[in-house]
Amino acid sequence: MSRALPADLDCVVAVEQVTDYLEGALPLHARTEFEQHLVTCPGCVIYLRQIQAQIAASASLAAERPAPEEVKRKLLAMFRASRGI
Amino acid sequence: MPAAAPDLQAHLQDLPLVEALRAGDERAFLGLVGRLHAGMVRFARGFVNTDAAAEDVVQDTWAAVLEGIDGFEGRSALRSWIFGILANLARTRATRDQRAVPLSALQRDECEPAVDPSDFLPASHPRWGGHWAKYPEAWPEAQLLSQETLAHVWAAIDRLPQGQRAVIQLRDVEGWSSEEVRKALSVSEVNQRVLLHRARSRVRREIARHVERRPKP
Amino acid sequence: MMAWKFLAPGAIAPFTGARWPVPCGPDAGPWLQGRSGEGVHACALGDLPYWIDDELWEVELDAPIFRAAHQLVAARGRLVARIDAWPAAQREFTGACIERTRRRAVDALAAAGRDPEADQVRAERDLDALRDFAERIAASGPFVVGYLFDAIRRRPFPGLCAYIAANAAAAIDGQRGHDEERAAQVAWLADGLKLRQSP
Repeated sequence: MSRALPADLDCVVAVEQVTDYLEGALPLHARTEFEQHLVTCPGCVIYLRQIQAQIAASASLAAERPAPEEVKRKLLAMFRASRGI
Repeated sequence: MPAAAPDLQAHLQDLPLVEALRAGDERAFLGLVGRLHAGMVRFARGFVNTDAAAEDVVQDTWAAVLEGIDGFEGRSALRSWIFGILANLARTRATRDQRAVPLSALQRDECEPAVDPSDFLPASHPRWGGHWAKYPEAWPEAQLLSQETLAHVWAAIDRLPQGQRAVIQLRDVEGWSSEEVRKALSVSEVNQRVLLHRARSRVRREIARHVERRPKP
Repeated sequence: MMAWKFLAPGAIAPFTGARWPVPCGPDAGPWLQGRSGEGVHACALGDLPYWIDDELWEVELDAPIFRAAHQLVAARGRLVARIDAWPAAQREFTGACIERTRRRAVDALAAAGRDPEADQVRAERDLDALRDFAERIAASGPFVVGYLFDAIRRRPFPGLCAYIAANAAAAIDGQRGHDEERAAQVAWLADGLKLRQSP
């Protein structure tokens, strides 16, 4: 960037901050710098949206697969034994 | 009124279930199994060599849970506590089975950047050193949620080193809070974030490779 | 206290994703509380070019209000009225940023004794042609010529364009140049959009 001004955040740094940003772990000053960078960087906005889309896609992987019947039988037996039933 | 501390909330939320388990309520137990079992097996599989070993470890975990339920103090959420036991048993089993760590994982640079450095302009660029050489492509949502892409996401998570895989599964797949993950895995807030960051960055690269049409060098 | 706020389409906060309730009829909208510990952010006039987005609103802020980097932070705020002339005026705004950058490039080239190139930059009416010309001479030219190329190239992104123009000015005259360019951007927005300023 222009040598005349104190260095602004660049994209190499910004992509390393995305996780902290989404976690709310950046202090106010750093968060403002990061958001300022987003206003001036369509590339990093896309990157952030990619990560957010990825997180949403990951959530759809959560399995609500029921445990196999045999496993449930074994565990139930274990439960009854442990409770003295 | 300030919100109750997360610990207190976890305790309050799980109390009825814990009481039911202690009282021998089979439906409550089977309900808990139904909710957690598949995720537990997948989680354990990130540490051990085989599906069978993962099933074993999960079974041992349930045994430990039943043994310890009377003494459970509710300092963490019930599932955090359960997965904490699971993580310990899985790690022990992995050590016992002397799980071979792939050489490539050992050689991986601990400080690997989130994005390939060649995606950015070099510092020598007169105006935009450190900025994107080309903006990344927006991912079309429909494609991202396709079965094919999701299979790639899952395979990418599968290939992560142990710690990264554990964190990303619990945070992004299962939707746990960072507090719960910290407790289950006995890691600090900072370490948890670092693992999450690296895990997400690697998975992102896999998705990008699959989704973006642009030819890679 | 009166202030302004840029929002994403649908009156959505660009970073938190929070939906600001819009006014129904002539009265201000309902108050929006900042998320715990974070407050709501808004712009004083001088902050506007740093936060450009699709919708511009007049907002009212409730105390306590404090100043952070390029923004005001308040406990809560409410939307008062939409500035209808925005984003329709975006093109003109970025055009003005480009023209100021062009003038700086002309002056810098002339000062470097490169009059033919200075003349060509001054005279070229077609922005795409100007962009291509600036790109060609950027490697050999003063920094500001490269920024002129960038500003034209990034036309669809007004926030980025404004940032480039400010950096172009800084390339010539450091912090003072930067501040002058940002002040020119603020003046353009205030006059061009006829922004009401509290006494």
